[in-house]
Amino acid sequence: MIKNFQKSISLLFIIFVIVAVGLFHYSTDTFLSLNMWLIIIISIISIFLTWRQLFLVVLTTILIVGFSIFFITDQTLGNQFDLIGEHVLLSASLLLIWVMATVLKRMEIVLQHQRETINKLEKYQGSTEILSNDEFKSRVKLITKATDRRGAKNMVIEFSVSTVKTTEKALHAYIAETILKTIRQEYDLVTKTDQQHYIVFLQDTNEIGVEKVTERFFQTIRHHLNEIKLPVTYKYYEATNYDFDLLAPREGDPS
Amino acid sequence: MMVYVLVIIMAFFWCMLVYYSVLTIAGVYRRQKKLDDTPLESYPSVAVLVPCYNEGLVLNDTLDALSQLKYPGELNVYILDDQSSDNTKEIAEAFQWRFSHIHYLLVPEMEIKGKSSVLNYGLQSTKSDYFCVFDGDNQPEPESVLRLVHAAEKTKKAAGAVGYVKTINAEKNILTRMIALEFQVFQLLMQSGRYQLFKAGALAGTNMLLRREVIEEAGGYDPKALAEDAELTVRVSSLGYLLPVVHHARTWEQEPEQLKTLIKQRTRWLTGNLYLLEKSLYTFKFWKGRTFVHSLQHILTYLVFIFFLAFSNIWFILGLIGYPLPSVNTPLLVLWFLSYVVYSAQIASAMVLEDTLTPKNVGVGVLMYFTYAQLFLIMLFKSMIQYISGRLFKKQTKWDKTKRYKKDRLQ
Repeated sequence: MIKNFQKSISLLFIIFVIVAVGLFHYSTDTFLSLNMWLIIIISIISIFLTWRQLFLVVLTTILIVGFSIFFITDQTLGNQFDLIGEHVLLSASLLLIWVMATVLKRMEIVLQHQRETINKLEKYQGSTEILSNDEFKSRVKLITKATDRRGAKNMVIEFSVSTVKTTEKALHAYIAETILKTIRQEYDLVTKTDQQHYIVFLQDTNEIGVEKVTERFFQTIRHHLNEIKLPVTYKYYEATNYDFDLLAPREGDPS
Repeated sequence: MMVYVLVIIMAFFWCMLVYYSVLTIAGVYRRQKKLDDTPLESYPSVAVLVPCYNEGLVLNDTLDALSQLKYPGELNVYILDDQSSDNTKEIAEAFQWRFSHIHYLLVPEMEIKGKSSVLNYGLQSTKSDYFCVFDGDNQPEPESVLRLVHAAEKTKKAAGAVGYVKTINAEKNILTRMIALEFQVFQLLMQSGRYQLFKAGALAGTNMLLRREVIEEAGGYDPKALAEDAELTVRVSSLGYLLPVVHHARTWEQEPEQLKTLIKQRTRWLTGNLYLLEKSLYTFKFWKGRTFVHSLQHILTYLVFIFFLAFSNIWFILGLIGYPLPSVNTPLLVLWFLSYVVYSAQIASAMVLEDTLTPKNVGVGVLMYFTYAQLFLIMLFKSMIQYISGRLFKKQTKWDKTKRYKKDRLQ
């Protein structure tokens, strides 16, 4: 696909160059700079407009230039032919700019869409076993259905990490690894929402379970980190008070 | 004298080209507007009327599509059978037994046969806030009626709304491909452009929605009108109502696959337009306010344009056979080139907006100017003769049903 795309763009660009050279070669003195400026302006605005908006601009330009021929021709057959030829080449140049911009913008949309699909399909974040947000949400949904049926309770712990830039990467690698070691690997889930927050979902447990996990976690990091005030804080919630779509506590949660 | 006439003709053609260019740009602009699908607080009731006469070949697909219409309010579908002699009744009744909102109505023998009479009967036999019309071969998309209602309810002074008709058998042959392109240009682009500039939308024969109280105020369909949609548009506009154009509300229909069928269908449409033209010449209220745009367009297209075109063709032929004509200093070549540019711009715009810009369609579009577009003249003269002879001998032109084909199903 990418190979074909490269070929199409190269081909379109070659045709554009040939047409543009033809246009400048045949342009009469008066219209040479006008044609050049039109091509430059359309090329620049093609960066900012959507492909539909750009089409509207190109279409309007072609029609306005076309109608102006009626007023500038000296009415001899030769002059009418020259101006028509010039207009055909200018229109072709502008349309080729539009076609190239459209092909590129569409490819960008396809890539964006594919990136989103890949994000959805990815189970883990990076090389860790921290789940991707989408995977975390869908697994929480499944587990919640089962625990609801059994009448069991689930808990959520939100760890917040504060770092300085120099040690950020190393600290996060360590914290992620410790959280994964602290939880019950077959039952509990972990995801990272941004550069500061980790969400841990503990199934079939209560406040005592939360205490055990946090105790284990802080004991471990206290030995490893050379700081009096630990850079990690936590809050916990009952899962029913947590909005898993937003990955945030529900408003007015009493935790 | 001849020179002056020629200069006037050229000025007229030039103005027409400018007008159509502006319409094209306005149409492209309007087509880019985003769809407003925010739900209403409550939904009015809608009666979907489907006039049918021997639709056995296509009715099953039509009802499959109609049964899938998504509408949160009360919606009933009425098959109005105009005494069909094929299996239309069996198909419609099978759906009536299965679905509580689909109903079969046998239309009694009417004094003047035709779609207008059938629709009038449908209106008398049903009750609803709005009614919507689909032809017997139509396959509307599920959201079509919903979007029409949204536009009608959200537009101030709207009498209803009109959707967009797409060609289901566009790939069948070169003729259907040309018809599909023509619909894209004249329905989608010109309609949208006229609504954007003058708020003058026009009803189509299908995929249109109208408030019941408006049609009652207008006095129902005119049974003598062969182009009932165009005729009703002018009457509704003359009452001061708007008809928003909703290009997101789409239906798919079959178009003629043979030239003979196309000529028959279009001759009927054009005859209907000539009837409307005559009516507008003596009806003062057809020239008031927004209706002026519709009536002027009729006069320019079916009278002035034809007269000028005939004159310029005679001039051209006289020149060819060597008749001594006065020389006129005018850029005729540029004028011809401009007509081709405007025509190509319309075709290209429609293809771009509909995402049908393929090399094959571009080729067909290039050919259309020299082939399909010229058919208009032949058909207009045919319908003129038909209309004038009908008036002279006081004969009502018969309603001809367009031939249907099996089988183009919407996927």
